[in-house]
Amino acid sequence: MNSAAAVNRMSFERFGKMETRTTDTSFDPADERTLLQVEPGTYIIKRIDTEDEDMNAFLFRLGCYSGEPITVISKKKKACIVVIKDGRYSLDALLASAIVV
Amino acid sequence: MNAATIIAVIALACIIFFAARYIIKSKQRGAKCIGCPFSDSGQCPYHAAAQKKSCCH
Amino acid sequence: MRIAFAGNPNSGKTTMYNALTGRSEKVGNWGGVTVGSKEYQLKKEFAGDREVIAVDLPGAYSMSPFTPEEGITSEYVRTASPDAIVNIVDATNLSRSLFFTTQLLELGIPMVVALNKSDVNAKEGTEIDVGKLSAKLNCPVFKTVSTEEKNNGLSEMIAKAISLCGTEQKAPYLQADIDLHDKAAVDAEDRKRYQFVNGIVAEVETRKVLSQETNKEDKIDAVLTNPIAGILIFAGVMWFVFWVSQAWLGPLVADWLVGYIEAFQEFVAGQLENSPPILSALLADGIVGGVGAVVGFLPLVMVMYFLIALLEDCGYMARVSAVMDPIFKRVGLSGKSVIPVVIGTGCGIPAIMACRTIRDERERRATTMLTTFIPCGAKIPVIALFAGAFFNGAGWVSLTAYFFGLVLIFLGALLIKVVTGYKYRKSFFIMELPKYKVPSLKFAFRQMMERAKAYIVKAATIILICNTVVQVMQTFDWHFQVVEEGAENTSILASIASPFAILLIPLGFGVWQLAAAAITGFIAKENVVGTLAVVYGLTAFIDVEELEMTGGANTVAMTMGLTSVTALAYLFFNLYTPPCFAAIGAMNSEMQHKGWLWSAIGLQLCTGYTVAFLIYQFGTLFTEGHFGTAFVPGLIAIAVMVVVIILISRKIRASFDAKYQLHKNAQTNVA
Repeated sequence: MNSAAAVNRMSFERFGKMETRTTDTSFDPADERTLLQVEPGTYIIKRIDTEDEDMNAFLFRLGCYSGEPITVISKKKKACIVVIKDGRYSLDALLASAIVV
Repeated sequence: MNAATIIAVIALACIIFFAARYIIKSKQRGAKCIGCPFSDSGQCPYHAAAQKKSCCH
Repeated sequence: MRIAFAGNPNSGKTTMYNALTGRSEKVGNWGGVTVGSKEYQLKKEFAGDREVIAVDLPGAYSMSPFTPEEGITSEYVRTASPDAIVNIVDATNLSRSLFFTTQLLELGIPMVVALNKSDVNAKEGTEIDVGKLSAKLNCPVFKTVSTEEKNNGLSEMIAKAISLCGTEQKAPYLQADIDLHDKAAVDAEDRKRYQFVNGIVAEVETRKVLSQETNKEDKIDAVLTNPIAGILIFAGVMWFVFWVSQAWLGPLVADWLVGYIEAFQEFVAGQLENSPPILSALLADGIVGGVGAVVGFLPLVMVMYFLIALLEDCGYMARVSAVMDPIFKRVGLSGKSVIPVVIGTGCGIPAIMACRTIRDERERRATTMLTTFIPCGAKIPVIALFAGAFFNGAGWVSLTAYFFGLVLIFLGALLIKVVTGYKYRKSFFIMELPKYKVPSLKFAFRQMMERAKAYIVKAATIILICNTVVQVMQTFDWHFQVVEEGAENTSILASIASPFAILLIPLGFGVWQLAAAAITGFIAKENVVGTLAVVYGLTAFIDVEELEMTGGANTVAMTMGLTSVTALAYLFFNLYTPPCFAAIGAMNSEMQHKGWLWSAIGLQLCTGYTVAFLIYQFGTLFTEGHFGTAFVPGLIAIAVMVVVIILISRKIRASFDAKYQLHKNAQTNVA
């Protein structure tokens, strides 16, 4: 249920959010934050905005897709370390900002 | 011509012969670089592609 | 009988493969190390009387080929029809690993699951119900620990795999028949598959320690990936590696070895006292002396290989890749470029090949061009020779060579970024951080011995032949008369090398001997040492009595007629010019584009030339108060290079803009 709704929301919101996302995400009406903006902790992924098919598919195969939990272990300005399905990964700022939780 | 010279000449001939033979044989087998530690393993696609019995299909 | 070994990257596949076949394939604790598949026979104790071939496939996360590694696995399994599959599953990450497992099970090839790293699970208190898992997956499951010598579960697992050959297995989960081109349908199916996997894991696995909680390793990671501390620590670690291999342990063992080589050479020379001098020259100087000079540096190479193998095995390198990413991003590369650079300290060819893991095309090409700036193992003798002869064996020479190589990589990347003018680039970096493991000394030792063997083989063949040819060419002139003492300039070698030597005058070493050595370096970088030994009639470069590399130093320095400044310039010239032909061949096959290949060679030539020029001219200015010879011609040469680069840059940017221009026109028309 959750994932189906998420899929729908994903395709709708993507186009709506295109313009606002690049300017100032703090005015996000849905109060969404990307991995880069949150504190260490566990979150459920709302959607992934990499705009790169291959990257999306790759993340999916790791177990990183909307509806699944992701834990931020440590965060720095340019990178963060996350836990996806019992594996630890280091993401750069660009990738982290594409994962919305 | 003393004994040392004869031995030396033979030794020289042998050394060069075997060295050259090794190189030629390796090239025939398809190895790209001689004396490369990776020429036999799966880490180097450069060598894998060169060898006849390479990966997949 | 063929058994394919497939599994996620970092699952311990290659370690298990090594254990089963007796091989010593390189294991790196980061994904993408095995970039090709390799076949080898199983050891007798596992295969019994049968001939069983094991195929080690590169790590893959799934069957959908989105990276070259997965493509190989996917293709192999689908086309080569192995008799059985051993799926190595990282027991510490069941939830991710089983995705691939279920896909493999659908192939209809009998499969056995090896639950690897079970020892880590036991330590952490994670329990997996093997029986239940086996029932759910409908295939045998065995616990294995591929890093252990005995009691590792391998024999039972392999025996079962062999017995299954030719049997049938039913898949526990089948993907629905969907149109594979319909993205949404594929997406939905994948999610269903994950749901199935999640269900299994929930029933089969009980954890005491949750992955989401921070643990001891995270604290270490926090330090190692800290932008400032992490990089300093890395610098310190590499400094330590180079110091131990090039300034302490390496030379220590080398001196001992060289003692024997030198003694042997004197013996040979003594025996041939009454023989024609050319024989003595060929045998004693050319072969024993020349090859001996190269082999004498073997201990340095061995120690370094050992230490780097340890570093790679423990999992530290993935952290290095992550912490260097922001810096590399500034010059248009990424943390993924760290992998080839580290591999490049061993040999440039696998380093160039490792660039395949970089997805962005320009980044990949740039890294390929730059990775040879890091001195490879073959360049170690050259560095050691010059450090010993001109700088009292000081450690800073070697360290500088490596760190300067890194600096050149940065500058080169910056240059490429400016020349190609790519401003908009979206390149993501994600690297798995494997659990730390105690590096296997045995494995590092075997790596070291493999490298040593290869080194000696190379010395005894290529370098030997080259030395012989060089010796002959320098002894005779074009009429095949022996050249007189003092008239060496008339030899074949001199006449060929002299034109090149002229080009090198602005760099401070415009003598044919040095030019010849540099040229032979393209066949193998070790040849620089070998050729110099032959051409200058020098014997050992490491003095035994003083237990330092200074003994023959003055002789060497005087004979070559080089000052410290010109020696440094010459050393750096050889280090930063294009690599050996074999490496250039690797670059060619990687770039697959002549334009990029020649750009690479051009860049490397220009770099070597410019660096040597700057060191020589400004070094001479600093030490003697005036510029060296041919300052202006050299400056002109460099100016020409700069102009060429600017022209190329304009051309590339123009074509890029043209592409953009098209879109702009289209938009205005529509509006």
